[in-house]
Amino acid sequence: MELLMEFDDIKKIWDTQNNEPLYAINESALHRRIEKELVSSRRANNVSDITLTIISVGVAGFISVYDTPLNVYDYAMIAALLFAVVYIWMNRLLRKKPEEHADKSVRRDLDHAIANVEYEIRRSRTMVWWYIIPLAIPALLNMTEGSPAPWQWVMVSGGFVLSWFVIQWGLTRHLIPQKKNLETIRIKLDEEV
Amino acid sequence: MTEKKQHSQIFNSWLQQHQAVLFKVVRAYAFTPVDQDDLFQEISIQIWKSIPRFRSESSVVTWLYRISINTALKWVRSEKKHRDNHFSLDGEASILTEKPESRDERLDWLFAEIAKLNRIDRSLTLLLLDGFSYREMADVLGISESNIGVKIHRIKNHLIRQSENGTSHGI
Repeated sequence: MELLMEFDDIKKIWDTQNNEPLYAINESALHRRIEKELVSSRRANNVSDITLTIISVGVAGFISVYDTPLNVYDYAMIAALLFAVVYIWMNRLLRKKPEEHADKSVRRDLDHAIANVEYEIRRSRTMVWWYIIPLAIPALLNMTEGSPAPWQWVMVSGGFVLSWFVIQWGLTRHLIPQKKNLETIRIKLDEEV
Repeated sequence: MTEKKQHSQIFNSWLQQHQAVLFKVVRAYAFTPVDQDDLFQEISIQIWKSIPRFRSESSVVTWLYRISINTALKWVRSEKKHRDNHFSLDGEASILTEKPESRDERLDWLFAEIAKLNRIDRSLTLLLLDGFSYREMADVLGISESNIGVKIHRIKNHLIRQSENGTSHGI
């Protein structure tokens, strides 16, 4: 026999879980995991900016202390490194501002998340121009002034090539798939409703 | 009272009073105990982070739904990754334990039907069943009220039609 429920009957079934929770929460385990995740996500957010800052300031300090007397390439490298640090922290400050506008709706939060990933992608893609090349050119020119061994050439230029590969790996492995996922959800929100 | 203590107190009171909202979203988007545990943790983290941004313009329930749905929508896609990585959580106690006494066959059927819907429809169904108005649903999802109306009509009809199969199985 065909027996259709009314929507109100379905709602009554639904409402039963308001009085009888389906799960018990282990609150101490939850708090431990939240604390752990918050620490690791804070660390992950800061790690690339802080690492780049430490490397840049460290290398600039090393050049200015141990590579005396400084030549024009040394000055160029120090300037490039310090410029990169200022650029990183200015962008960081600018990026933090729009967060207070998120959470207005699922759509706005998605837009915000997409904008954040796009920012990271843009930054990674342009890093070769504002970090690797400005640093590599004076470094390599500086080497031509002396007579470094072949392994030194390989080490220095290999280091720059390796940095480029690491950036590309981060892009293809994490950032681009993340952006695609967010965009898929965003399209579904538009299409299917 | 320190800021952190206050933060923690708000979180605990939200969890106590509105845990059913979180459970509903978890069950609609995650289907194994491991995934449900993982999604619940992710939602809890996002709720914790959202506390300083909460303004009384919206009700707590609406706020929690918004955060939970948003987290669940993004989470589903990386579900496999979460499952693969879950061994890193080994040695830690589960957060959620299902209460067998709360198990209800009719509710199982309803969640199974919700799981068949696409991700956006699932969120609309949760809001619909919890009595949200079209205006509130539009606010939570950020889409127009008229679009919501059309979609809700279809979801209602779908659930009523499916109840035919459910009732023939004794639900």
